[in-house]
Amino acid sequence: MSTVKIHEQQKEWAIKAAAGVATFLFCYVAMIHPVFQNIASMRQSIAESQKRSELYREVQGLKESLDGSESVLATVTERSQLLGKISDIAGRTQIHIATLTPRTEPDGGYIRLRMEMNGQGTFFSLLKFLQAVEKIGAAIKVRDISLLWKPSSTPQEGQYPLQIQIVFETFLKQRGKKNNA
Amino acid sequence: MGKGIGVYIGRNEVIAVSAIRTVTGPQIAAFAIESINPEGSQEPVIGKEAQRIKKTSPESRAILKALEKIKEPGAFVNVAVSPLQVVTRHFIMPVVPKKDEPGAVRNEASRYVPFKISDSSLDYHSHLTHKNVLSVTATAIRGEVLDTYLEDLRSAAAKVLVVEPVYNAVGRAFAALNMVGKTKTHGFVVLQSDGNVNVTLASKGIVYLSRDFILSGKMEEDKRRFHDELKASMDYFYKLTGGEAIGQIFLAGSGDLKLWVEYLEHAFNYTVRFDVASLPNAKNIPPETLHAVLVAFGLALRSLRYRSPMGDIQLLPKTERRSDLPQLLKFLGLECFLIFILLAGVRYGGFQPYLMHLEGQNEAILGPANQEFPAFASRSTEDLTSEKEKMSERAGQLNGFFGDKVSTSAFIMSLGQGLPQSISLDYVSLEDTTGKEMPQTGKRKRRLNARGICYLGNAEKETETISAWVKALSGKKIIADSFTEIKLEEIKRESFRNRDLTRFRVLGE
Repeated sequence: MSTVKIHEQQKEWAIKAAAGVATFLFCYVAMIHPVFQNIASMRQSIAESQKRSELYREVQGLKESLDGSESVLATVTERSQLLGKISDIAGRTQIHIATLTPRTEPDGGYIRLRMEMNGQGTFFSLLKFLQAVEKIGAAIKVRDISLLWKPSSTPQEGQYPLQIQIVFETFLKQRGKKNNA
Repeated sequence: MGKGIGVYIGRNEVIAVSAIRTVTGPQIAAFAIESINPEGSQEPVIGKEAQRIKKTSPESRAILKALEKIKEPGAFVNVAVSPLQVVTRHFIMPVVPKKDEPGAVRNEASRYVPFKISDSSLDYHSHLTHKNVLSVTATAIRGEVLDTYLEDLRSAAAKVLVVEPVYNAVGRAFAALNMVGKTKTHGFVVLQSDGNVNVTLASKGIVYLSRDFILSGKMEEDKRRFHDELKASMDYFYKLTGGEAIGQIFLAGSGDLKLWVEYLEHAFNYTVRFDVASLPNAKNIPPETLHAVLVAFGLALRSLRYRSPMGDIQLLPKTERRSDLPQLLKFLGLECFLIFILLAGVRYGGFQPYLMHLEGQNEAILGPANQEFPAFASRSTEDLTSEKEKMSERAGQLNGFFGDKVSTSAFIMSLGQGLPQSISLDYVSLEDTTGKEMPQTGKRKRRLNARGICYLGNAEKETETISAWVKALSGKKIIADSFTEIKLEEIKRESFRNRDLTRFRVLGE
């Protein structure tokens, strides 16, 4: 049986190589390996910072946009003033309001206000009324409208031949909302 | 202070010496003389140790015991073997380029060495004596003999640093004791306990002759033989060196050396001085013992950086050489240090700037954001995401609400404009069918429902008028923007107050 002879010099080189490899591994584990973790963590931190920064800018942008949009919205406490304004406009434009019923319901961050109006008038008085309501601002929209031509035999009733049913809709700001940013 | 271990392996004994360097010179720390006993160990040993010892050679056992006795088992050792196993020859040859010298010496030595050079281990010492003449002393040992000795030594756990001829060790020992000058012409005689006598004659560091003869053990016969052999050697040396006479011969080894000194001085008529070693710091060692261990002492001194006046020969092949412990530790220390420096360089020279760059990048992102929005630092990603979602939802609601640009008054007006006089609308409704979820684009779904009558007294004309009006209505921008289709859903004839008229219904979606 032949055996491989390992010379002393080879053994010594093996010891030196093993010591070198062991030292390399030790130094690598102690010095280099943690750097990769640091780099990974730093990259993650950068990505998170970028994301946070972008998110914050988006939130700021949205906040500004909302501030602009919400500036035309009335608050819950101003609901009665809105009803009063509509009544005033109707009076000025010769629309006879039979009923004006407000109804509110929470919708997301706002309160949706629907005002159902029943009344009578003429076609032209209706046009004037709608134009005047639209001038209040962008906050009040006509959701539904129905007009029924109902000529009457009596002269008094003949003044308002048009049965008008309008549903106005708007959003009201919640009161006491605080600025988070 | 360093320590050196020398092991001399004779034919019937092993001598081990541990030497140390002191301020007063080299000193023997411990020594052991162990007989090579082919019968095996005298001391009873049982178990695995007994099995192991049985397998080892008598030489190996003797080496192991000698090293154990000097308390240096497994030590790094310098070794010399019986001079009978080693051949030393002197010759001259023309000077060759330095790089070709080893090969040329081997070729030349093959003419003088009585065994195959290719199967042996050889080392040499060369001196330029005359112009273009190289004086070479080559020493060789057969490869298989050396391998046997190495196996014996390694079986005894000894780590072999050097294998050198006996004359090197003896010369070193006498030189370390300041008894021999470098330029002097002198001889060394080593008597072994087996009766072998090695004679080495050297001049100015060049060994011209190293030969052996055997004494029979009969005193009168041995005296004559000793004198004759020595005389013959000196005459040969005289002739070889061109007239240099040996003035001093050092004796070392076993036996009564004082007796031999007296006899030889008398025999040579006091023309040659004979000396033995004396170690002032080793008064507790008997002179006979000191002489016997002198070879091993000289071997040990090699590790203490003492040089032999005849040069340091190394018979150990390069592949079998190993560094001594301090050298090995020094190498390993340097290796580890360099690896540490390399990786530290990579860490602090390569990765650290990159890490700092990443930190800077992070700071470049966070810094302005923190400055611009001081509250930013305290907000987590989840918090911001949640807020963004809420605000997006609100913005979507408002966009959907404000996005509808259709003016109801304009729409009603467009219905009235261009309405033929023959048509009368009695019902109009405009309904929002979007549902609760408002589209982000702001475009609402609407449904138009209009009912009316047309009277012209002619059904065909009435139908044409209605169709034309519906078509005109569809073409109006505000209507076209709000509805994809305006269709005449229903049209029928009807009698009203004894008149026939056309009733219709228009649907827009």
